[in-house]
Amino acid sequence: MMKGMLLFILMLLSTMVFSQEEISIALEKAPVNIHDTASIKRGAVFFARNCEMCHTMIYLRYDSLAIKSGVLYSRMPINVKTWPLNIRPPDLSLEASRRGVDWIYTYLHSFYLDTQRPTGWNNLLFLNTAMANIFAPYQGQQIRLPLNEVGAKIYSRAYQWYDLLELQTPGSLTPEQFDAVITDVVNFLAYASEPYKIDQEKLGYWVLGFLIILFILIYRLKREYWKKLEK
Amino acid sequence: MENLSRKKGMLAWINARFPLREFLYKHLTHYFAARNFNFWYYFGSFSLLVLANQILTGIWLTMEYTPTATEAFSSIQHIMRDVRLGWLIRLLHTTGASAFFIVIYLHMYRGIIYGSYQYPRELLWLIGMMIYVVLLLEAFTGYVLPWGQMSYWGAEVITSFASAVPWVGKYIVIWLRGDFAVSGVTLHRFFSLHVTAIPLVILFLVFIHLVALHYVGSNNPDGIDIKHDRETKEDVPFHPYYTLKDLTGAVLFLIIFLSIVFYYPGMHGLFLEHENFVPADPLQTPSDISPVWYMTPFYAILRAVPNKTLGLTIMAASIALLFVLPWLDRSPVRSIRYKGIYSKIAICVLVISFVGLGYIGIHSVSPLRTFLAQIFSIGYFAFFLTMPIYTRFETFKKPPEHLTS
Repeated sequence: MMKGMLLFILMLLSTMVFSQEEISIALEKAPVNIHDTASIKRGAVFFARNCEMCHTMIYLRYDSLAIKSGVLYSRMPINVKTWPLNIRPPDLSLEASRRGVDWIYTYLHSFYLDTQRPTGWNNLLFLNTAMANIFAPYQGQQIRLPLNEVGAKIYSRAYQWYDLLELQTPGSLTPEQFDAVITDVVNFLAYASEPYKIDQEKLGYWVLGFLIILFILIYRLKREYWKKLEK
Repeated sequence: MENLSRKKGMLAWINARFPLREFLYKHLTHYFAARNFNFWYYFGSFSLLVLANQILTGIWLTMEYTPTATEAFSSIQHIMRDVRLGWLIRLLHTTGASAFFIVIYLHMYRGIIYGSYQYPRELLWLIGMMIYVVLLLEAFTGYVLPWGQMSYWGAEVITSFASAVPWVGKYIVIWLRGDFAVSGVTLHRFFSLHVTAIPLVILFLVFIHLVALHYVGSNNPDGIDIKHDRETKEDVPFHPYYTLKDLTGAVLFLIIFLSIVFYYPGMHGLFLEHENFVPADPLQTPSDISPVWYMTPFYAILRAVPNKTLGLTIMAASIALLFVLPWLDRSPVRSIRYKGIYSKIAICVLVISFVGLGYIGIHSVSPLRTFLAQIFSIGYFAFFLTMPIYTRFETFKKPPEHLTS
């Protein structure tokens, strides 16, 4: 009986260990800060230099921060008809709302060398992604560790991208510098999704503050009237 | 009256020509309601507040929105980014849609626990149920308008339900969509329905809901009859007592509502679904299509049944049963306070089943979830179908002569 159960559990585990392809990794928390305008601008400059070759940002067409940082509508690949693998890279104006900042932050960290893929790159979070790893010169080249090696190390929590990937050849940036660059990019993407967010926060304080005062006044008025009934 | 007619002034002038004074007298200052309304009695007035919010913000959205397949998605982004305070107007509308269903579900729950659907308020309940169904249509047509992936595929799935109608089903689907698949034609007609036809119906139904309410008078948490035509120790005139109380509640409601609007409008993908930030693409089906949270209890019932036609029939029945609730309840008392233990258990089962179904409907299908959805569906139907039995044979407490405080 016990042996049978043990065998069953081992079989279950083995399927988990050897299914290299299908693995869900935990998202790393992106340290974004929408109030850090300098970071958003740095992210925009990075975007203009590195991402705008393939990705459009069409809803930032009239956004002054984006324009000042060089994210220009005229330079976006809007009318490009042919793309490698016949896949048009998605517009990124709303990517942060769609995927969440943690997803993007983790995704941009999780590229690894994979000779099976036409681009030469694969991604832990988005398996068989069509995107090439344009971050390699900065981050360096990562390789994926076989799961059974990692499995022994980690058992009490979900895998993070850095559990499964190892830096093989370093890039021009240290891991800390690279984290900072990706944070800027994600910050910019978050801004691109909701450029009104700071106004939203500010107006919210005023409106809620007003309502709380109004509530106190109306509540006292109501109590004044209802008090008469109790007599 | 005589004194008044001799007075000069705007009001006197109006009152000689229009029953303004009588109206205010009859429906506010001398409409009497029980003194012991509790928390649950706020949600009727809250739904009026949300309705007003939806209509006002809707008017402003319509000024900038373009209902065509090529422009719809970007016109929403135009509202969010380029229109001054456009993001606020839109987020008030999207959050308002979810808030509408929250307050409506709680309003219906109030009706169920205090027996507000029983004699003489059966018609009041029926009109309310009609509002609920029309509201579902309004929400559905509105959800299509942003023309994101979920808008598109949600419309595709929900309009395809009509194909279950025997013989003519597939023609009805084409007739509804105005095309062989959901397209810009569908979008445009849904826009028309969403901004004109359905709101008019809702306003009319809300009006007669209030007419019926004021004719039979409001129920109360004790579910006992009180006089509604004159002031007694048990009741108070609606104005100023309940206008002030509802206003207090309304401000509190707005504080919560606007906190969501300003700080968490997406509600973790519940109020604004993540996939809907991708423009509609008829060539790419999303991996997981689910309606917005307020429709998921019924969607879960549909998915719990293996056969599509049967599933749709059972889903329709789950809403239809709410309509006949007044005739299923055989209890001589209205309020849950005096009903027997079986009614209390049944309401617990209903709440657990409904919330459970809603939770399952949001998530993708798995064998365990389907099994649970089947259990919850049985729970939901058991509440209604066994109601004539348990309400009739259980021992109930005799309600007091006068209201409890």
